[in-house]
Amino acid sequence: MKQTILSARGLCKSFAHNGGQLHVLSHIDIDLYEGEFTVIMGASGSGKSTLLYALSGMDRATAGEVLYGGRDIVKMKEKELAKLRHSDFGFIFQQMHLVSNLTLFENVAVPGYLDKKRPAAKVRERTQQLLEKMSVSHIKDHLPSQVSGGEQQRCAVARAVINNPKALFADEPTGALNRKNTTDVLNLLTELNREGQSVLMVTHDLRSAIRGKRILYLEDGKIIGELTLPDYKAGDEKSRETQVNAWLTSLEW
Amino acid sequence: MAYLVGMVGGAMEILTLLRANIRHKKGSFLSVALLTLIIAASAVTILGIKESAFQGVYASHERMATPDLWIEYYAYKLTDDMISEVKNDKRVKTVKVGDYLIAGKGIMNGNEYTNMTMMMEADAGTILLKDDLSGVRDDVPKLKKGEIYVPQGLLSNVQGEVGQKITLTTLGGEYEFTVKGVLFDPYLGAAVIGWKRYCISEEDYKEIQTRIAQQETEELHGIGKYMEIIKSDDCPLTLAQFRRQLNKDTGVVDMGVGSLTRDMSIYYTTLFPQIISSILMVFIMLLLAIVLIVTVHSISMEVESNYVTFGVLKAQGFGTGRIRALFMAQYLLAEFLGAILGIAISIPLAAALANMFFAIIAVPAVLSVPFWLIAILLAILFVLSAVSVFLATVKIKRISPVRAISGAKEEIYFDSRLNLPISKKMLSASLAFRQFTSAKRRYLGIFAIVGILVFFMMTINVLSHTVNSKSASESMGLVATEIDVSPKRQLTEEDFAEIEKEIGRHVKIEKKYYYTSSYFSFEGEQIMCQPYKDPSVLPLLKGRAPMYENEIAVSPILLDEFGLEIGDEVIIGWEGEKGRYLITGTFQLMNDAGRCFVVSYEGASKLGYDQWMWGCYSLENDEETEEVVDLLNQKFADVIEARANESMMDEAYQVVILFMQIIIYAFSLLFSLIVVHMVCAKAFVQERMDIGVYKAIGFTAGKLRLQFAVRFLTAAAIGSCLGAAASYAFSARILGMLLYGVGITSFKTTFGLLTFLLPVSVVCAGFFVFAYLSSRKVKEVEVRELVQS
Ligand SMILES: Nc1ncnc2c1ncn2[C@@H]1O[C@H](COP(=O)(O)OP(=O)(O)OP(=O)(O)O)[C@@H](O)[C@H]1O
Ligand SMILES: [Mg+2]
Repeated sequence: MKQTILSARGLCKSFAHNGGQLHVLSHIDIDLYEGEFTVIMGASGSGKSTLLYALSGMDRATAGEVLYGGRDIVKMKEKELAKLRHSDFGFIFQQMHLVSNLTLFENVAVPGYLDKKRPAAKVRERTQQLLEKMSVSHIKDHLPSQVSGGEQQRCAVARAVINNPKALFADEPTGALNRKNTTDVLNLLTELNREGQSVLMVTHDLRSAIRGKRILYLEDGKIIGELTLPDYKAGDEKSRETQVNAWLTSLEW
Repeated sequence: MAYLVGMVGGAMEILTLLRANIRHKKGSFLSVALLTLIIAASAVTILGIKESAFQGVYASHERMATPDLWIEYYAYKLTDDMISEVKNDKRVKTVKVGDYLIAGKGIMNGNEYTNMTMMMEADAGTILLKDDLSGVRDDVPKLKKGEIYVPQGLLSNVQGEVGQKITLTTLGGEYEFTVKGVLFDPYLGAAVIGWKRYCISEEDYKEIQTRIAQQETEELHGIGKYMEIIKSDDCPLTLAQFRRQLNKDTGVVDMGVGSLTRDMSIYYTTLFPQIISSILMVFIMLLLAIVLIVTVHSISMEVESNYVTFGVLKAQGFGTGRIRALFMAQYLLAEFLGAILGIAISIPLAAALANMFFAIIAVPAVLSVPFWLIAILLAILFVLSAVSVFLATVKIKRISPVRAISGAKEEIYFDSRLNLPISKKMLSASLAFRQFTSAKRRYLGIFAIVGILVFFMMTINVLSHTVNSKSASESMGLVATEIDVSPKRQLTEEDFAEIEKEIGRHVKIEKKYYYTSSYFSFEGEQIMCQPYKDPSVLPLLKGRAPMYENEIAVSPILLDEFGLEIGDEVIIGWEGEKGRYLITGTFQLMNDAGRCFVVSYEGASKLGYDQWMWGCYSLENDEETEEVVDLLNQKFADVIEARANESMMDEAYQVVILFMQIIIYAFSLLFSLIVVHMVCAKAFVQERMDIGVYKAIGFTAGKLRLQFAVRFLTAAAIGSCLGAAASYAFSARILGMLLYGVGITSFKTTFGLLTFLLPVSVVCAGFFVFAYLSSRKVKEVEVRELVQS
């Protein structure tokens, strides 16, 4: 039996637009399961990022509910949301978004420091481990502007998981990266997932999407398709790509 | 030249861009306009008030057709021969001689006025002021017995008002009067001028005159005469020269008790408004400097954050000149609008406050705005701003389209030497400090601004500290005295010894001064002289104290004015007697606006001087002062009258200085507010991304705002230290320069904790709070914005 960690019901998001309203998400139901790697695909402008933000508590839904740990995060106060963001969720941006005046090490450690219960030494220890895991420990005292985009993104992954989040969200984490770096970051995400990390990743890149166990397809603010794949193994790429491609074609991608 | 052509050629595009820019950057446009408004409004208000006070004084002299020279005498000293000699002098046009009765002391409201004053009968020339200060009254109600008119300067000194009673002491006894109105007396009415004229009823005048006449014999010190001289039209001499020359030939000035030319009267009367407005204008110039710093700062941040935009504009064929013209137009327009609005506000303000100095100058202001001066100041403002904008936009030249578009990121100013680690315990503070150290250049402007504000606030504290009571005299090089003793007869050595013994039984005497104060002729001019029993008690500036009978020490201002040096000999005269005296040194003395000198009492006696000496005592502590005074008054009732000395400075001045202090503090805060707001707004635009990221990783808005506030606090703290250091080094010198005119040439600046802490804490707290408030926008930043950018 799969354990649900996050479930949204009737999720809607609208923006004020030219005096009227732009309905970006309409009545979406979605569940995220413990330890699962879920991928959201869809055309540009279909509302993928909007959905990810609404689910991760980065933005508030207009209607509907997002249940996490028995509570509706749509109704949470700003303070509670902030706590959720640093202790329960991790987020990876397409543009890395490291803080420019903090070193890589500090970028990773700072959210760790926000956890009042964790001793600073523990945070530093874990930061060091993560940076090693992401192969950026040799440049940990560099500033983001002094390292490559791939290194920045690996650091951003480390930052996202510093507090052992229940759910890791990634919005096109490889969108700004070249091929080699893309593979590196995807391998990291896969590895984290193998260790039990739940991941929800938005992408429109096939090579990235195949890392997922379950792929959802978003169109005009609705989920119109779902594909479940076997667990990912290195070397599977070709066959998974064919499978996903066929599925996408059936959805008129 | 190319720049100008570019400006004209691109007028249309610039206008379009300008409109868009102003709409877009409303924040900094408004801030610059607002800052200019404040400066223009305050400058014009201050200049307007000052000019109105000055014009009021000039107009009053004209209206009263005041004489060029006024001399007062003991009646018996002014002979008919002297009068006719003056009348026949070809440099003299008219002479008017009149009588008065001398009042040695006035008590009103429990406050004493100890200068020699004159009671006269009202005549055709007597004019009263309207209650609302809008001008003079048409009528002068005939005074009844027991009624009196006095000038405002007296009321200011004793904190009295119309309707209250005043007791005047004459040789014929004490008389009580009810003040019925305020006398219009531009010549002697000002609070800074010691002599005062009153009008009393014919009846009272006759009675007091008779009583005085009964008292004494030949040398009657209770009745006086005055002479008002108007110089002939073809006499080319200045009034000071006229008085000197006339005295040289006739001795009329030396024979008098005192004299004053109209020029000097105007000088003394307007001295205080002059000083106050100079100080405020210096402050406003500093504010102007702040505005320029803010402008440069804001432009360079704008250039930095619009690097790409400018690159794109350049790629489209926009020249550097055109982009700079855009900035120029934007900032100058903001300043222009601010200045116009400021002037519009300030004129009614100046009108409303025109009579601010009334308590001091004692004549109503005549509203006038010095348009030319304002025009010149505005021109300077615009030229300086244009230069600042020009310099601040130099960078634009170096933007190459390629580099900008290919994403040349803004440089990161990062200095690892200042790199404190981020700590968990002080997370907000250490992050704030990092934000601060990583963009130090951005805060340079803040350092300078805070530095200037703190510097000025501290300087003002030093000043008000100086002007207040005991410290005023400390600044003058005198130790303030707690007990003053006025003689009822000439005191002897034994008297002094006994008084000292009596005081010493209760409290230790720190220092004692025995002296008098009179106008002597000094190189033919009437200058205040203080004969001291022991001149060596006075703190010396240069040289040595007078030791022998033929030695004097002078104030530095007097030395300057007469082009003298220590070691020179001068001619001193008292009531016709003359002698040569050697200048041995200089003292810091504020009496009579610093135009005074000191001689030993024996030295003065050589000229026949025999006025009674006062005693002044500086005590180790002032807890028992009142009791000691009472005891002295009981024990030596026939010999002296003792009183406790409270404040050196009259309320009228203190009020104005307090007012000035409040203005400066309020403006400093207001400026901090606007500057913080402006810098915050800019920083906010640049850091929107980081704020989003911090929010995404779980920082609350409150935490982020705290970081913001701490960062500005850090900048303010550093700026404060710079300002404090500058104040420590320069305040005294600058005040000395500014206040040379009142006779304070050397400031003893004691930098107490309060002098430092008050401005620093006010500015730092202001920056902290304002930054916290200005950063409320942090709340509005949604994380999703990160994706859209
Ligand atoms: N703050 C906003 N105000 C108005 N409209 C918005 C806002 N944010 C998103 N939208 C609109 O909502 C729609 C979905 O945007 P979203 O960013 O979720 O798309 P996406 O699927 O992530 O696209 P992409 O693949 O290009 O990232 C778009 O049409 C976008 O213009
Ligand atoms: Mg997107």
